[in-house]
Amino acid sequence: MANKTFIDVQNALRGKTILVANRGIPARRICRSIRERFDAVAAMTATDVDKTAPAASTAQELILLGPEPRAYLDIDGIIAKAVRRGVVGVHPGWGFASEDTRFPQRCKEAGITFIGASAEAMNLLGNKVQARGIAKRLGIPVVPGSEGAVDVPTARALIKEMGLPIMLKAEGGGGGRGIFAIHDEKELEDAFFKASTMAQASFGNPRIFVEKLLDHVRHIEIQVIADIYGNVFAFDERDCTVQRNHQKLIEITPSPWRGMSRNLRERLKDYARRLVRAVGYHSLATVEFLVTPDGSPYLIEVNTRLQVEHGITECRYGIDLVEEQIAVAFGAELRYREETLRPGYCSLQVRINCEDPQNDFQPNAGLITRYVSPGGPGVRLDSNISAGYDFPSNYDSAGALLIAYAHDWEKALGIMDRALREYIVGGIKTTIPFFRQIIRHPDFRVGEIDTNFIADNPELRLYSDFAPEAERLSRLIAEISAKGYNPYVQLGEYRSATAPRLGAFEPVLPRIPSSLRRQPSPYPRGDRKALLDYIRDSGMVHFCDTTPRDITQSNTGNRFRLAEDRLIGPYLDNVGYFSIENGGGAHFHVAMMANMTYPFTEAAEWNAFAPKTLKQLLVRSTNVLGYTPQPRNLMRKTGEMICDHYHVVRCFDFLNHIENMRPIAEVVMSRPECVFQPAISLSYAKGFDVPHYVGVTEDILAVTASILGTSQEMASREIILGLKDMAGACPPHYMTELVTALRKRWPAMVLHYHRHYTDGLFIPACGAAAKAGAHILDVALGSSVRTYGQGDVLATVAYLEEELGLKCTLNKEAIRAANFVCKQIMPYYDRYCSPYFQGTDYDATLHGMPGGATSSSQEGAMKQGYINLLPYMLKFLEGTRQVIRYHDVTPGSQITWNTAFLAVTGAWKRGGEEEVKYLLEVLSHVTRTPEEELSPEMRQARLSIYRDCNDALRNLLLGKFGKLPLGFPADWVYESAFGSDWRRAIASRTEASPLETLVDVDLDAEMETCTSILKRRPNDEEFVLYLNHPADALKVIQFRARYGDANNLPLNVWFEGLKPGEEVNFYGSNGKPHHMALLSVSRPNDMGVSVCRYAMDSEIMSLEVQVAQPVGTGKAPTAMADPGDPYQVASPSTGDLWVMYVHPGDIVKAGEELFNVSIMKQEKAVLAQVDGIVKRVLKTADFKENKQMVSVKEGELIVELGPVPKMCHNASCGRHIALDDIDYCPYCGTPLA
Amino acid sequence: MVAAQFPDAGGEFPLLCLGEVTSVLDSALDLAKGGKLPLFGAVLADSQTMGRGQMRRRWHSPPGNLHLGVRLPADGIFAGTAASVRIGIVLAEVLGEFGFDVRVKWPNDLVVPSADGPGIPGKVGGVLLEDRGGALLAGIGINLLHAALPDPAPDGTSPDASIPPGGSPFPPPLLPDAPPDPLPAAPTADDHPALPPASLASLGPEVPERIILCGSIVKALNSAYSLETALPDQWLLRARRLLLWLGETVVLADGPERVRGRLSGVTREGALLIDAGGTPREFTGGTLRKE
Repeated sequence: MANKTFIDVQNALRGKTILVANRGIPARRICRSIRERFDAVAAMTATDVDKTAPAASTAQELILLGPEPRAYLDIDGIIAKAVRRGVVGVHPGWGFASEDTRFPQRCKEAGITFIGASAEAMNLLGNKVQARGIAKRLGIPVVPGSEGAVDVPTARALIKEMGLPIMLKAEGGGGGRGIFAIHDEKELEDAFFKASTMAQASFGNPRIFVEKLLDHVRHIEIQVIADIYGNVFAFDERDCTVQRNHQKLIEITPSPWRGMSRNLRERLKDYARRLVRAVGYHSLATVEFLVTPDGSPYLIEVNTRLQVEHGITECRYGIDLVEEQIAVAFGAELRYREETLRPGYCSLQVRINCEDPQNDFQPNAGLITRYVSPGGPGVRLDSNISAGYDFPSNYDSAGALLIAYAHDWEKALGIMDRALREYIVGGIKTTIPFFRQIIRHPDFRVGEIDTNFIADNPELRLYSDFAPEAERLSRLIAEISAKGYNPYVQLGEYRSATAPRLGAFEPVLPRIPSSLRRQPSPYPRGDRKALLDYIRDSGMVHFCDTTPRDITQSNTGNRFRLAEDRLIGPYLDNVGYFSIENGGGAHFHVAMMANMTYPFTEAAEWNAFAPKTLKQLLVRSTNVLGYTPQPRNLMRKTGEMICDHYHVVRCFDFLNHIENMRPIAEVVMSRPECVFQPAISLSYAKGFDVPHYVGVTEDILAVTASILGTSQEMASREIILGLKDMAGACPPHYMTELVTALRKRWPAMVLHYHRHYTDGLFIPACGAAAKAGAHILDVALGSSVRTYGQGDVLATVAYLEEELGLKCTLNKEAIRAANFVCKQIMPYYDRYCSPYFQGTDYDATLHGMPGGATSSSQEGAMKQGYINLLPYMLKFLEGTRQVIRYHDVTPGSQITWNTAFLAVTGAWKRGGEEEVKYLLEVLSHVTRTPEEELSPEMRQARLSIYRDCNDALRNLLLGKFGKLPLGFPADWVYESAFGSDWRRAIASRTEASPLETLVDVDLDAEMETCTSILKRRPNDEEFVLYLNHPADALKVIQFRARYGDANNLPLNVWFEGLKPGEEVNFYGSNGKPHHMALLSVSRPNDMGVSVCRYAMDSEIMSLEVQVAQPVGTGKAPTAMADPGDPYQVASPSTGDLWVMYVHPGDIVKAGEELFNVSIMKQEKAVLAQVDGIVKRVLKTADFKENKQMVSVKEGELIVELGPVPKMCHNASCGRHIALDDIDYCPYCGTPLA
Repeated sequence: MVAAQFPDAGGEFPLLCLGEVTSVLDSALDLAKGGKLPLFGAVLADSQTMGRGQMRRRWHSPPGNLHLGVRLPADGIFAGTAASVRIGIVLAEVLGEFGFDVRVKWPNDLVVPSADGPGIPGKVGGVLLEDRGGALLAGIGINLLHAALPDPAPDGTSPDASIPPGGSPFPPPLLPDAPPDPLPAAPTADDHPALPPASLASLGPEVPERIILCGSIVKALNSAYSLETALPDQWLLRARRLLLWLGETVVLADGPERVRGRLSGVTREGALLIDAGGTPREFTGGTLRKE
């Protein structure tokens, strides 16, 4: 009789039911084959957890297994249900009971075809010890090891024989589980015990055998299929070398390894065929080998089931192994023949698991919020996930199997990379980004790896797991819209969701004529000598524009974003300025803290959209751009990065302690294209006169000359001297004096004057300086001028030209165009982040508080309730400046202000206004009266002036910031500030630069720390940012990772968000346009969470945003009893319910105690007022049992009774009868009484 | 059941003396239900097999100690939450008349100084009020001769606690539609250990005869009740002298909450006043200990 054919089986199975006793990916995959070819009914088992899983949708029927998640292991249960259903065949899939020899046995007994090996064959090949035995007899090399299960002494003997390292493996195990490696004989006993216990628990078989641990091996396996007629087909090898903890992650066919020769392939296939024939095996099986680098194979085990990676073989050959397996199981002859079935493709599979590789591959269960599966040519996907699926934690973490196939290996890799990029699984972490790292690894691509590849390359786990930028930006927009304000700009809740908006920002940008654009800048580049010569010889006044920095940085919020810089920059670039100040100072820090921008990337862009004009930035002497004094190596690193993007570096020190500037000066001056501009901090007061500042200038030239190795005169030609008046304290006539003196002494030195508007005399002062010979002035665009910054460029130029007859060559048309654009931007910044106080303050000349601080100090005083004390504080400033002499620039201005604040509020707390007035009197007296003439009372009284100061002032007095410009203050100041410790303070003060004692930063250690926090290597800029401002750098880096580059958002959206119904168009960083429409923002629920729904390009998304604090505890309102209803039993008083005696269904009699409520050692028994049956018990307690009581309120419904129902008298029935007019028990038929 | 009746001892109020009972509270309730126990009628037992304190904790009741159950009116000074504290104050005053310097640890533990220090006084007596079926009964236990075993600590279990007839020892299940209740966390024993027991006999003065003491107690309770209307708050002044730890820093533990402050008194309703900085707050629950 001819052998049964595939067609015969097809006919036989038509309309029959085949059950897949599995779940998820394998179940779905097998159901597909059943439906595709056989016209049979595909049934799938499903526990309650899996009933609605995505994979279950592929089955036509579900055999429900109930609530126990492990029911897939209940062979008998499944077979019983299968029999009931009339199933003809059962496929066990992989995992669960697929290699349990009882399964085929019981199926056979039940008359159901088991689609897999017979029990005997499964036992012979599936049991690892048996398999080894058979292999040995057939002359197939096996991994050296024990003959069978061993005990500890035998293992020890084997170690002596084979040598270490060895592996302890479970006899009944498989799939890489239950393997313990031993490298040291000391570990043996412990590991043996662990292995045995684990084996018993996992596989029900505690026996352990020993194998040699082979090194640098590859895992190569051969898929075979055999029928009952003795036909065997062996497929090309699968290379499963990429593993982690013996779990396969990537499988490839054919192996890309050079050592996979045709000979080796044939050899392995031959072994596989012979093994399968020897035991009379018919079904699918996989024979697994380890292959050493020299090409020697060793058998490890045989898997007697369908495997996870079978798909790549199917893709390689263009076949369906499952249908063949089914056919063979029902007795068909194998259709595959070596002659006719040839492989055509290369294929690889990655296992998309719901795990977080960056967190040690922790399984991730949870809701999948977004799902976009890849497609296109060469992609095969077997998955069990979908959007909205709550990935369960009861089973393994396999989410999907992604396969790519093509004619050649390179193409297959390309397809896989592309598919991984297209594959989006949102809401849980998956291994997708991890695989992208592997696919790109050069060793992997050429097949030069072994089973230790993953373990040996931990940097594979350093990656950024990002959603596409548009998606991330849309989340930011949604968040800002729901809250009504942007929490990241550090302005607090500057507006609410309902506050009126300024509306869309659609600036009108005048065209810049190309002739203007093409006009080069007259300022020489790349050579500072040439640049400075040009300025010296020009006979003109030159200008630096501070609009992008000083003018808009005084308040955290009003610092322009890079997005606005991009608008203004091109216009400024065509004005003909000497420089544009676009960096440094607080601007640097605020970039990261509030604007979520990398400041150096911003600077690089400036050089791209405003290439013609020199760029200038401001640094502090000791801190440079950071927040503490910097050691040399860090200063060098930061300094080099500065010089890569800026051309003029202005450096100041609030004590004019020039030595502090030396390190940064060295860095800048070593770059021939950069100009160093040391700046003198100016104050106008006794002692700070022209000769004093001339002396400071000498110091400067001494330092710079020593760096250059030239004379002071030569040095004066190579730097620009900055004159920095932070508060506008120096009157015009003083500037005339100073500048004249400097020009006379050093005729070749270029002078750059920087002044604030605060006192209102900006223009006259600039005029005086320019007339006296200052070369460069800091100015700003008129529309951005506020009193805390610089003055208006056009007005200044007009004054210089028309009143003073000086020559300026700025392009006024270009300035007007820049102003026009700026005017459109300013309203947003003015509306949301204006400083508190914006008027001029001529008193700045007295109290010396710089422009920016005037406003914030007033705001602080007001908010803390001390506005009435503000005039006193300013008066204090006036006085203390004469006692402790330094300049009110950062950080000096902060120190002075804090001292004043603390002194005045301290006095006020002690003795009210009287005490404050007295304090100021004393201070005034002390400053006016010479030391000798002071009375003893005064000497005593003055000690209270600094009693409330903080550590910053004390550190200043100790010289920790540097040398005070006029030396240390009088001793009494120390007594006042340090109290009894003052003598020691004086003894320990220093005049050395604080930089001298700093130890170099350990850059390597910092890099490691940063990498471990970011889980990837920081780039050069990120590292420098991190070294300067660790907390804010991490903030901006993490913001970028979470949301993308916020400069892509229009200005109004950044500040205001959208109203529901509004839309916005924006570009991603790669230039792709995106569209977002806000659909709705729900009202906040009890937890304070609003749900935003919006359309992002063509998808609808939703986001939960915490907009308010949770309200209340979310408790349900208490049910109150109806006092007129005797069936509603209430608590007699407010107190604690501590025992409930009844439960629903109990019959109670009138007078019976139902529960007891205690209040203050008074226990009230609550009795039933009527006979009844307990219907509901709303609260329960049993203090004796669980030591817990439940609060109840007076009148609260605790127990609800119902009328006593009739009961059936039949003792064996006894049921309650709910119906009223019946005469017989509906349950047992007994007549009712 | 009734061993003897001494109408004189309690004035016009009957005092029934019994031998061993389950609990005077049970006996009193039985009598009250049968109409045999008028207001201010009392039951005195030699010993109790199932003497109980709060929440059915065991109160060890050996012969020689006082186990008294009194029926009280549920109005006047015994209305509402004030009853517990009022009774405690009255008892302390009565014992004071016999020469014992007894204080009241709120709400109504009768305590004396112990060797363990001011923070851990010895407990000589306690009161449990039960309001069952319309009868307000005060169960009063005083360790005249024997320092009874301490009550179990707040989270200790009483192995042979009684289960009331007709009730189930297991907590009843809730129907699905009943809202789930967030139960407060169990109090911890370690920061509120039970007070060590003490007896009057271990102090100086002579221990009075039980019946005499009972008579005084009942008379005093009746007196307080009757005189109440004249000077409703005068007792607060007297209470202040007797309140343990008045003016000192205490900690009140109520479930997981802890309140720390100065014990500043009790209210008219018997609530405890603790001053935790600012205005004193009232508390009607929790266990008190000294800081």
